[in-house]
Order: sequence, then structure tokens, then C-alpha cells
Amino acid sequence: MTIDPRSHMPVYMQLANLIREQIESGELSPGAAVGSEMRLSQEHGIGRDAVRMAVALLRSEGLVTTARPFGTRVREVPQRRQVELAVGSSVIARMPTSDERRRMQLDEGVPVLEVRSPDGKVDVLAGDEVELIPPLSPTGHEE
Amino acid sequence: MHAPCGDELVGSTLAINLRSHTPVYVQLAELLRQRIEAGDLEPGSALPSEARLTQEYGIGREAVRMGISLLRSEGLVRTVRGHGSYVREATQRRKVELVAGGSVIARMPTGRERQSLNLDEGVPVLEVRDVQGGVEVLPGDEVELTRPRSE
Repeated sequence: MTIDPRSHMPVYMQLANLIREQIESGELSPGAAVGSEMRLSQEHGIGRDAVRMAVALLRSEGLVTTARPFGTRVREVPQRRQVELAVGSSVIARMPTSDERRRMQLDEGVPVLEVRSPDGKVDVLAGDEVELIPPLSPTGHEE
Repeated sequence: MHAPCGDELVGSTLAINLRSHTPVYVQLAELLRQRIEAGDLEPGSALPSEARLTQEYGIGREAVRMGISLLRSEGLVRTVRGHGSYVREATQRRKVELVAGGSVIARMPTGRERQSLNLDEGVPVLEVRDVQGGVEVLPGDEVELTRPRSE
């Protein structure tokens, strides 16, 4: 797959698609360097702005992180800890507000799980750190 | 010409700081995000045009474009080609009962899932795994999962 400047799809999206496929196929493994702005720009014959936008898009999807001085790398996904989802609770997935993202120190492109317990209590959990599992011990709510 | 009333961008106490280490597009995204989260820009309303944001904040078009693209990836705005960008409206969520013994994670969709589920940018998915190991992927903005009382 190469970048087609005549396509209707913006060049930065084409580059993002290309790198995303490499990540999803495992060709670029977690922790691997995606390549500098300059290298990607030369390799694909596109402008640096387009490269920057493509990387920003992938970052917002939680696929890569950019940290000085290491450049952009494929994001390593943390081990998930198991949290019980009690009977009678409900859960939604959404993107964090900017406050939540700061407070919980979430990378860009990481959703949150919002868990509402039967008593109305709401918990917001980092979407990439948690797996919600069935209650281990029987609760009074069950038959 | 004066800005139409109701548009308080100019009077905003916050402005872009060109000397900051934070990239200009990130600063713009932050300013607009605050206005959206404060309800100043309501769901469904149009964002100021690219040209307008460029003028009012004294920044380049590329920065405006990148700032809006960041908000799009956060699920805060959606861009309709040829029309502009709008504050995304929260969709009504339908309740889905979690299968007995099912576990759940939230993550961003793969490129393919986003296409097949027809998701806007910045919309996560819920991945439900049943006891047999079967996996179901549900659109994060349309579903509320409940753990039923009697399984």
C-alpha cells in the first residue's frame, strides 16, 4: 500500500491508515519506533505537516505515544487489572473529559469506563487498565 | 465589522500563548474543549469556521485544522465535509444486558471496526467476552451494559 496523492482521501489519513495497519498486523510491535517526521516525510514523499497530522491522529487513537527524546513509538498496552462489576450495575464507555484525562494521567486516545452501581454511585475507571469481570462472591442481590 | 453577539471568542480571558512550549494547536483544542465542556458551545452547534478561528486567534490554518482534528479524535466534534465542524450530540444509549459470566473492556476500535460499525472518530468500543470465549464488540456511544440481577 502506498500513498496516492490523487486520492480523495487526505494524504495524512492515508499515512495514518498505512501505519495503523502495520501496528494492527504486528509488523510494528509495541515499543517499536514509528520513524521520525523527517524519515516518514522522505519515505512517502509527503509534507511534514501531513506526517505531523497523521501521527497526531494515531496518538489520539491510543496507538502511538510521542515522548521526547525518544520520538514516536507504538504504545505499549498496560496489563489490565480485574475489577468486579456487581450485579445490578451498569457501565458505559466514553472518552474522558480534559479534567479526567489530566487527573487520571491518561494517554491521548484512552477511553474510560463509567460504572454506575445500583445505589447510584459512579466510578470512572481508566479504560486501558481495567477489565470488568463477573462478581466472584455471590451478593445478596442474586436469587 | 463587529462579531455577532453571542460569540464571545474575542472577549475570552484565555488566549493562545505563542511563547508557550505547548503546541499552538493543542492550546486551541484546549480553549475550544473548555467552551464545549462549559456548555458555551452547545451540542449540535457549529464551531466557528477555520478562517474565523485563524483570524481571531492569530494562528495558522494548519494549527486550526490540527486543533479541530484533535477534538474530532476525542469525540467532541464531528466534521461534515463542505459544511464545517459541529459539537457532537450525545446519542441515546440502548441498554444491553451482559451475558451471564461476561467480562468487559473498553478500547478504541481498530481501523476496520470503525468502518464496519460506522463509528465517528473518537468513539470507543466495548468488548464483551462470554464464558465460552466468544467476543462481541459494541459501539461505545450507543450502548449501556447492565449486569442483570438474576442470571
